[in-house]
Amino acid sequence: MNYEILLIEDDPIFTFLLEKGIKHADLKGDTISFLNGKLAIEYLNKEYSDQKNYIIFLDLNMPVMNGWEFMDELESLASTDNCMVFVLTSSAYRDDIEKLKKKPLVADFVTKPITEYLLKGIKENIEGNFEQNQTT
Amino acid sequence: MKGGNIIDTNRLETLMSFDVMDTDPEAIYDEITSLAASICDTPTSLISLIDDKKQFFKSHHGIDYNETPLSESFCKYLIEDDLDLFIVENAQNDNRFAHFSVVKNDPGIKFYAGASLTSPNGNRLGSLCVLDNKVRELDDTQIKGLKTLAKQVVHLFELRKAKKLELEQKIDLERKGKLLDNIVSATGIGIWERDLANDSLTLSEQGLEIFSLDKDSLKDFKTDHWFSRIHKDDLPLVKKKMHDCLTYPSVSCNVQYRFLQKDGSYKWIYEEGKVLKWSPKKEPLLMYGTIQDVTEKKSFSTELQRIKNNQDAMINSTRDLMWSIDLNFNLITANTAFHDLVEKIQGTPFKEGDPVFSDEVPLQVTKKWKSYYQRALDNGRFSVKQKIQNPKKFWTTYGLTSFDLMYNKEGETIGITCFLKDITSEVLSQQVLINAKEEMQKIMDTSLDIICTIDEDGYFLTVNQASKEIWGYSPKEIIGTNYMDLVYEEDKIVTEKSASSVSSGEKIVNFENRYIHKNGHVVPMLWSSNWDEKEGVFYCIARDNTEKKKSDLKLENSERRFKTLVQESSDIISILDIEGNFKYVSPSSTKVIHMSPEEFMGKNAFDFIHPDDLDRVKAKFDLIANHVSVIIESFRFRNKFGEWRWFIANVSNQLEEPSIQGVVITSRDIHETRNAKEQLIQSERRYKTLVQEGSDMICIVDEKANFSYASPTTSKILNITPEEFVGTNAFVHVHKDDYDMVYEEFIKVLKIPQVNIKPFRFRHGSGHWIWLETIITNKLEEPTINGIVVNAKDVTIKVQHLKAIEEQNAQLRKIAWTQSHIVRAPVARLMGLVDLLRDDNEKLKAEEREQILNFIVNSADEIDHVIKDIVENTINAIDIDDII
Repeated sequence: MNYEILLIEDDPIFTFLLEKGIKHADLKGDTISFLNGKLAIEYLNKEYSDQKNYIIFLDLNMPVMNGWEFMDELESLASTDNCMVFVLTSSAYRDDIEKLKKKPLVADFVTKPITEYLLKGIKENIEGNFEQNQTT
Repeated sequence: MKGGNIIDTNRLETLMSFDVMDTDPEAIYDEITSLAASICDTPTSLISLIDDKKQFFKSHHGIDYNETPLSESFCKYLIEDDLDLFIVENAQNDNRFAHFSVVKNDPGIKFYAGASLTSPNGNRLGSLCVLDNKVRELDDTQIKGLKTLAKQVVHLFELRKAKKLELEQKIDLERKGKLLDNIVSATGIGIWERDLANDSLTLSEQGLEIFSLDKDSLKDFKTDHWFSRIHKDDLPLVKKKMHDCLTYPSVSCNVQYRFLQKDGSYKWIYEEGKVLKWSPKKEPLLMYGTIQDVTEKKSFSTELQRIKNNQDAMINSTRDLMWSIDLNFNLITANTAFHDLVEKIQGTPFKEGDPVFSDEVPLQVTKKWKSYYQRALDNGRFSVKQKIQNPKKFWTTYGLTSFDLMYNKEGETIGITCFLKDITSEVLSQQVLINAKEEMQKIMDTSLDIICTIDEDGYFLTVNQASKEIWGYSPKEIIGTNYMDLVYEEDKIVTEKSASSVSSGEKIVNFENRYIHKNGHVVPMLWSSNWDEKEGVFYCIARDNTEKKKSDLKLENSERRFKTLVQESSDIISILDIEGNFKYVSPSSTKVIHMSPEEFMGKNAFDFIHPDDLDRVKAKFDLIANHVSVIIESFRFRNKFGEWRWFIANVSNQLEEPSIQGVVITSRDIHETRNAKEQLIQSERRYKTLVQEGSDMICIVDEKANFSYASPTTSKILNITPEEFVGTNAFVHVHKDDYDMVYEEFIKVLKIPQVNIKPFRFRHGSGHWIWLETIITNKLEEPTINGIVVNAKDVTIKVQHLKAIEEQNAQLRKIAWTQSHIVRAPVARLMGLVDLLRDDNEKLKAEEREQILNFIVNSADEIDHVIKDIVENTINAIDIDDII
């Protein structure tokens, strides 16, 4: 099963670390990085297809278009059938992510830094979800 | 008899047989008349034939008409008088003929001479005659000539008749030949002839068709050709049969074989043949015969065989027994199952023709079967059910044997067919069903509750006898009616709702509604219903709820009474013996002192009394021995938790009452009352303190907020005396920033009884602001007050603290945010980078490692900056003085 992995993160170090981690966790699929939500949503508006599965790692605090705004846009585009969003947060301080919790597209919250261990969990979550979708 | 000869049927028939009457003239007869006229030298000669109505001239020489009525006939006298020859010399002088038109008028006949035309069987048909208008005589030669010619005419008639017959026969033959052809072609039979001397074959059209040959190919069709087309499996037989047939002195022979057709398929041919001619040496010369296409018949019989085989297979594969016997009870045939059983019983199966009675079975069994067979023979077809107890295996099997008679073609009985079927499972399941049904019926019949089924449209399908008792209608009256018709009007909607939830799969129990009894009364019903999706029916049990309703009502009443009297009351009713031991305690004890009646049993009441009250209570109680009732003033009684509760008690002597035999104590908990009293006293005391020394101020203002009263505490709190307040307006003292809010709140109280005003700033007598929390109550209608009561409290310190806390919280939130977003980010980065280094050190390329190190340095710098910021933020974070 192949996925398209979108990294939406303004911090180049996190992007760097995430790319490394994805490689290690053996998550198959093309990885594309975006510096903010706007670039990502522009890409999706152009390229989105129901036939593809999307794994999105989303940072919340970003310039131009932040994570919350991105989620609002994404909801009108993608469905839970083929899209999972993992929200990246730099702390366990969750007040600012409360309103994201209820969104069905959001698969989980991940506290930075993303370790290999966390990514393996994410991988299982992804495979479980999409393979289940496939059989039903 | 004169004239009788004319109509003699024999004569007429003979005449008709020559088929000459009314026929056209023919040259040969005309030649005869001409010859006769010439011989007799007369102008006229006729061949006259007489039937029963007229005379007809087959030839008329000398006159031009060919018939006359009988009344004008000379010739008939030959017949009537049975004469061979008849001569009239002068008709004009003869009374018999003088009136004839031919005599009287033209041509004026005078002379007549006729010779009889006599058929070989002796019948006179008419005459050959000559006529003349002169009186004449004939000489012997002439007469002989006339007679000879008359004979010749009859010969001609004979000849004519023979010719006609021949023709008819020929036509008939042709017709018959055609018919035969038709028949032959209709039967599809081909005819062949084989010339053995020349080895050639002739075939009829039909035969050519059957062999699918044409005439040309037949020209050189030798016997070997014929053999070559016969199916190889059939050829030996054909050759043998042919050989037999050609060996003197054979009779006819027949054979069936497959013959190759033009299209490559084979036809089944049935051939019959016979040698027609033998040579003197007894060698066959010619043979002929027929062939028939029997392909269809053959395949039909193959099909028949196949069906029979299938039937046999079926008959033999069943475990049921089938056999047939003849009139002497000898086996005709039986299926495998029968043979197997017999073999099991006696070691060998019956052979066909053997008697069907085994020595291995008890005599009475044989007798029984014999009687069955006899019964079938006497009365025809019947079936009998047998119960077979197997003593070894302790089980019972059931069989159904059917006997029927067998007939031959003539309809005579020739035997009995028997069929024994194992019906154990049918019988057993039937029994179970019957038992279940009986049980069900018993339940239905004896049930006092209504048991019924209702279809999806609400019509009763079944109902038991209980309906008569409960609803007044017998089952007969109810079945087919809609249950809704019986439901009490007010309950129809709830009933419908309940029914629809039942039909959606819910099981409803204890649904209550009301039905209308036949006599008009309302019957409360209690229903349990279940919907059977498969059958499409509701199964319902309904109970007459009248008694329960009544008792519910009673229970409700008594419960209410009980509750009022016992449970809800704070009175405990107890019965003690004279020693003070509990014999009974009312349930209210649970509520009042948290002890259940059981906990008191076997205990002494005085153990629960407060030591300070014990002597007094004991003394009072002892009085009861001599008094009907005694009242015990307030005393303390210990409850479950060891707390002391205040009680008063009324003691009543019921020692002599047989149903009680004790002292009845009615104790009332007066604890709350006592406490309330004490609380009142305390609160009064508190109020005094509050009003005089407390931090609360109480003022009364009018609807425009002008003070009419202020409590003395104002002096202390606001440094403004009550006297100074009275007559001034309250809003004068309110901080301008809070004015609007306070005003909004104040005018509310004109409409509602009480308003809480949140803290606002009020000017202290010495000029600074203090925070007041205020409750204002509308007492404008209260005559003793006639104003708005203002209750205010100085909350300055509290407000200051609150403000400080809010400020501090804001700071903390900022720190927390910073921590999470500014500090955590670089820390997280560092952690990630370090992880990467640790885990992947070897795998990283040099420039990557360089890059990571740069990232680490940057992140560390960032943290440094952040921490500096935090420190600055927190140093001045909390300073209450700033806020006030």
